[in-house]
Amino acid sequence: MTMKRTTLLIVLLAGGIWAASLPASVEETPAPAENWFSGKATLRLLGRGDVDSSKFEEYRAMPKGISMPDFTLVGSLSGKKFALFGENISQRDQRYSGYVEGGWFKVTFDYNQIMHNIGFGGRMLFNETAPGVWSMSTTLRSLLQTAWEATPSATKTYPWLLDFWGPSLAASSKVDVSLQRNRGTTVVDLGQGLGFSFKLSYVREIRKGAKDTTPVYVSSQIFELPTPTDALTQDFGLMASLARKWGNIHGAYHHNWFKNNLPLLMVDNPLRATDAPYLNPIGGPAQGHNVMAPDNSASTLSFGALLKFGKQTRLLGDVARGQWKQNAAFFPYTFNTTVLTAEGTPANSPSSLPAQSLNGKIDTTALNVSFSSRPLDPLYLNLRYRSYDFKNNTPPIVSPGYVSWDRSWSTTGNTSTPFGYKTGRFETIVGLNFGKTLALEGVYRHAVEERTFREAEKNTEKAFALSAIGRGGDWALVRATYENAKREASGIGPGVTDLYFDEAKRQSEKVGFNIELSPFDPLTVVVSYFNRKDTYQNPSWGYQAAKYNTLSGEINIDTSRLKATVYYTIERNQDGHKGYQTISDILEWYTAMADDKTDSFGGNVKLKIVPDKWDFSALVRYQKVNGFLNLEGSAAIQATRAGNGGIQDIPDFDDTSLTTLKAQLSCAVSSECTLALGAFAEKYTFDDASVEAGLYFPAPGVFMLSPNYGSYKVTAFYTSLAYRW
Amino acid sequence: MAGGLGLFVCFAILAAARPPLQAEKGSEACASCHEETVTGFSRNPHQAIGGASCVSCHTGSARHLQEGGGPTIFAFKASDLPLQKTQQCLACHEKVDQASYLSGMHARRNVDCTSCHSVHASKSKTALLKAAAQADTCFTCHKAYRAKSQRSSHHPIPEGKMSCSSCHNPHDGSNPSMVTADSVNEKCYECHAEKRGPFLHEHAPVRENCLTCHDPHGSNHDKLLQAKQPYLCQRCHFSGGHPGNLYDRSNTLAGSPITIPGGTTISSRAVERECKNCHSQVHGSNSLSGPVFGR
Repeated sequence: MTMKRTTLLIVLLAGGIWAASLPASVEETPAPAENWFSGKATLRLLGRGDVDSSKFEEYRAMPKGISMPDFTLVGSLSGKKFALFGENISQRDQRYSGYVEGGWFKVTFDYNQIMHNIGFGGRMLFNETAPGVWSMSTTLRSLLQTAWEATPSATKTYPWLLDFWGPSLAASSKVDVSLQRNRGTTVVDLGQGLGFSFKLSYVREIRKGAKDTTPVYVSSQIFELPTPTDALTQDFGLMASLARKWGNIHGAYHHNWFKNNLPLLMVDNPLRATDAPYLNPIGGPAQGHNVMAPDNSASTLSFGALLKFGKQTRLLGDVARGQWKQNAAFFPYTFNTTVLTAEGTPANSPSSLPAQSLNGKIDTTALNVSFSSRPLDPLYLNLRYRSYDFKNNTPPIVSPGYVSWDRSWSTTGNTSTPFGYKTGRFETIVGLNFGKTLALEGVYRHAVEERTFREAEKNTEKAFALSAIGRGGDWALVRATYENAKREASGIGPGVTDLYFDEAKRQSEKVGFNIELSPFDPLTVVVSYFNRKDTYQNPSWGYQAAKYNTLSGEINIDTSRLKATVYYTIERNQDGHKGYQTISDILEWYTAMADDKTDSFGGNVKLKIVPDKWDFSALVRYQKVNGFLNLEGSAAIQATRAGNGGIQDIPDFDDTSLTTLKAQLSCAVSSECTLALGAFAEKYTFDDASVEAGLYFPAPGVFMLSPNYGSYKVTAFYTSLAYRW
Repeated sequence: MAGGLGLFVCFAILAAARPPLQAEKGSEACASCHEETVTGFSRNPHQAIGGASCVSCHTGSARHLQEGGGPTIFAFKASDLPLQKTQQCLACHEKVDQASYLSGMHARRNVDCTSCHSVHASKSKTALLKAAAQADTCFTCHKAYRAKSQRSSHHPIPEGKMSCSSCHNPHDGSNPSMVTADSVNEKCYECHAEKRGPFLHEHAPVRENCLTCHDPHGSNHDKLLQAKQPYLCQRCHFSGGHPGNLYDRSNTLAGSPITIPGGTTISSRAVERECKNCHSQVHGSNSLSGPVFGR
């Protein structure tokens, strides 16, 4: 918050200095202005039960007791307009935005705190002894090491593991996985009174907390940890544009920095207090590590123009050049003191690395050209071309090997591959309007993608689309569209038969329609349908198909006293792949085909019971996702699961239901004050196999935090007082 | 900064011949019949900032006044041609942000300005939208995305911390899907800059398009993923050995007996982060020990 204030002050000061330097003649003589102020502030008193799951307040705060959900202040003073909006005052998800506007300048700002609660009450064997360093008592590690190494592998059954780790888990600490993202944006427009726009923008975002969890594979164990996060992203921009009757020209420059204050994650190995050569299953590192995102920067310079001619003819051209850089110092292969490289040098020394940093550089070029016109009144033409060149100029680095999971040197040499690609997309669009009743459109698209260092060097996609819009007076509107696309792959590497699905041959179809009916004045009925089907044409294995279709119905009633909406949406998602598993040297097939169904129902109503006195509003929302994965396999694969009831889907997040109810009754006790009583109820359920058994490490050697982000049920009641002036 | 100053000077010179703002006046006459509307308009940005009056937008007012009302005035009715309504607004608003609107999907689908905006009865804090929340304006037509935004994994759009225009420009007619960046990934890096790299070890599909694995509009899979792991990864990694092997419920604690001596069929590849339990750096690794994204 302090940093945000500083940022805002600096930008405002800079804008002020800049503005002060402008000649007085550019300022327009202010007309006699009306001074006025208007605003609103709301106080709320809320009571609710406790919720252990982080999911309830994943992105929102619902504080108990007294809070201020919002305030608004707008007005005009001596010809300067201003506005200040506040939401969730002093809460973790607070937000403030607004603007100040005079004759030749405008300053807009937005300060947005985004909380992200990922999981509450995770179980930790470690303590964070320094930022990004997770530690465990050396004494305890020695005891565990002795017991672990004295026990033969065959004895380490799951019950044995439960007993082995039980005391440590019982004594473990709890941790909440939660991130705070504070983003401030300021834009100063200094050209308003000058007949053009010249803007300076500054964005500053601080992220602190734990943005996620990171599993670290240490020796032969996996430990899931909160990902300590302390990062700063900044963006400075200059944007200028000039708009006239003949068109416009515009340009912009942006420079963006990302600074990671915690680029390294370290964790103690609970089964080793000291480094030792790894002799499976004994030995290994005393610590594991993970290299987090390095600092980076990006600059983009863009320029473009739009020219207007008669017959609604527009010629648009834009070009943007970008450069991304990353040159953070490499961390050593490992921090394990016992590992030597193939040359016999210590792998924990930076001097053993083939390079000290990447010197990574990527150049991007985006080109956009468009010509559109209506040469005849009913005829519309649009030709456009767009390309994006992602040229990775990072020098490849050759490494003679690497340290595998911090435990031993792998002699598998590797060369980093700086992937690059280039896309081009040409479209021809022809439209015909037949008065107010019918419009038709045809589109032809030719798209190409070329890549480096991948299995298919080139994809070419040809597509056509047809759409129609029909209108029946004021009461009916129908939109319909169909698209068919075919993608080919070429330049396929030797020995490659089945491609990754983003490169594979593909046949795509899209069908959609939207019908809006207003049979009589307050009633509107809307029906929407969309279907997309992608079929991938790999000869043997890989992603097979993806199909998504959705149907929605909605009814709206809009009168001066009643506004009501009710909707229902059905979605179905089907996709999957065909893979194989080698059993007795035979490739045994299996298929994994998802078939997820979602039902969403909702509605809201706003009723003026007594106009300007009593209002009632309510909202209901329900969504149920029924996830299903149909797994099938050859007889040999089925036989491997015979003892466990055959092949079965893994429930994992994809079965959920969410029900939300809100209702509020408000009374305008005076022209300034409104008193409201409200109720809120929400229920969330989900299934997840990983936590189904209620244990903290669901597989041997896999130590998960198991934080609570699961089902919850909550009811809240509140009263609020809104004051307007 | 020097480039910025140069741009400023160039634009100032080009702007020197700026024509004066000429707003039609006529609101006084309109107020005799439409008093409430005219009064409310005085604090409307169109009047307060743009200096517009009623007849700036409602053309054909002369006969309307002569006849004491009637349909001769352009009133932005549902039966009016969408293009005609849009052009009325673009007369002033065809600036940079709206310059390519006419060639965009919205205009081509007969979505005119009044489909989303209301000059006289807006409900939003900014942009004169017909709904209080921007997303609700978009959901008027994009109903499947309303459903997706309610999934267990979603961007904070329902909570009001983001909006559709955080990624899309509904007035744009030049970029595919109206994404406000030169590529999908460049848009994502605006908030997820740590994934921009470049990295020592790049994951090619990640580098090409975040949408290969993620659905930004909402998903019932963790981290907005298109599908559950390990099956998502196996769409590409279908070859033999541990990447491509079948993992199912029998590989989880919930689906496998735990008392088998010497271990069970439980696999770390089937629980929690599945593939990411070990390959945690799938967005790119900057470690020389990370060729398989494990460090």
